[in-house]
Amino acid sequence: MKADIDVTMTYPYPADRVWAALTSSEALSAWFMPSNFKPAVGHRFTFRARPFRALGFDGIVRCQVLELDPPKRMVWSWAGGNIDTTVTFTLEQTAEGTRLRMRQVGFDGLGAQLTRRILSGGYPRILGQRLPAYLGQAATGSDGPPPPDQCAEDGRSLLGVFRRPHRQIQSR
Amino acid sequence: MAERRTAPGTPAPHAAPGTSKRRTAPGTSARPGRQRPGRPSKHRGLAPGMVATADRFAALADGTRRHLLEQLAAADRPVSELVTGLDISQAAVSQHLRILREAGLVTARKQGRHRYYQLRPVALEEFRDWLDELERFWHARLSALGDYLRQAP
Repeated sequence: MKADIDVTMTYPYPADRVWAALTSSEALSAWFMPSNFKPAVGHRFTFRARPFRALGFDGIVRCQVLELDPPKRMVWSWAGGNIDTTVTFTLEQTAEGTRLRMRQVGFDGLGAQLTRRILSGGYPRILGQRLPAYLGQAATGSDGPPPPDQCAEDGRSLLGVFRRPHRQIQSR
Repeated sequence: MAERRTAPGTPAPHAAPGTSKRRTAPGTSARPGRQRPGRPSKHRGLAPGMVATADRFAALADGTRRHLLEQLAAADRPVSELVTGLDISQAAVSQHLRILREAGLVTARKQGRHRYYQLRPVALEEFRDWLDELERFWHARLSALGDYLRQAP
């Protein structure tokens, strides 16, 4: 599984100018997203991203400035739910301008963690309710589908068990 | 805009689940457990998202198979490794893996002389999609930074 995100771009401007755009709250609001960022080590700020509920991530990204080394390097923590990553911006002056590299690391292990959580009952509704319900049904041949309120929040489970409606159960 | 992008590594495409060739079981005596392992042939050819619900339930209902999934959650492994620590034969483990494969929960790939098994629940696919989207997000934002720099005084 892919372990990190790594994006490099070169801008035809001096590093100081790119750095200023990376570290001013006003500039960040213009090109990144609105946030209460301040260029101070230890400062905490938040913004929104797409939620990933299976890892407890509700979409609120909680960041903290971990390192500031103008105009070369800035590190943020980038966390939410079970996701705990760091974002590192590195600036390098080149003949063409400034090469900016953004690396977000800390995703490795999340896939395995996700699976372990599911299998170990982090999702008790799957193995704790739905599965016994299914097994009981299979044993008795009853044809009533389990109540829909037992579905995962988004209508399907993480293992894809409920991706199809319950009727599949009866079709065998 | 003189802007260069270094394409990051993109994840390899996955084989669609449930598309593995069905194999004739070599000797049904190796068939493990009390669960109904055999999948009726009516399920063959279903689209990946349509792997029968009943099969997934049945596949997950067995303790040995859940154990195998947990092993695969840590790393891709060949049968010879998966059998370690289990009280059953390698043939029996292979049968369990076949059931998991047909339920779309694992896939197998050949590597040298070994067949490696790989976990493949929907959750992981969603996680990959989420990561891909995050990567696109960064690309888009850093492109926007280029536009911002061009326009800003």
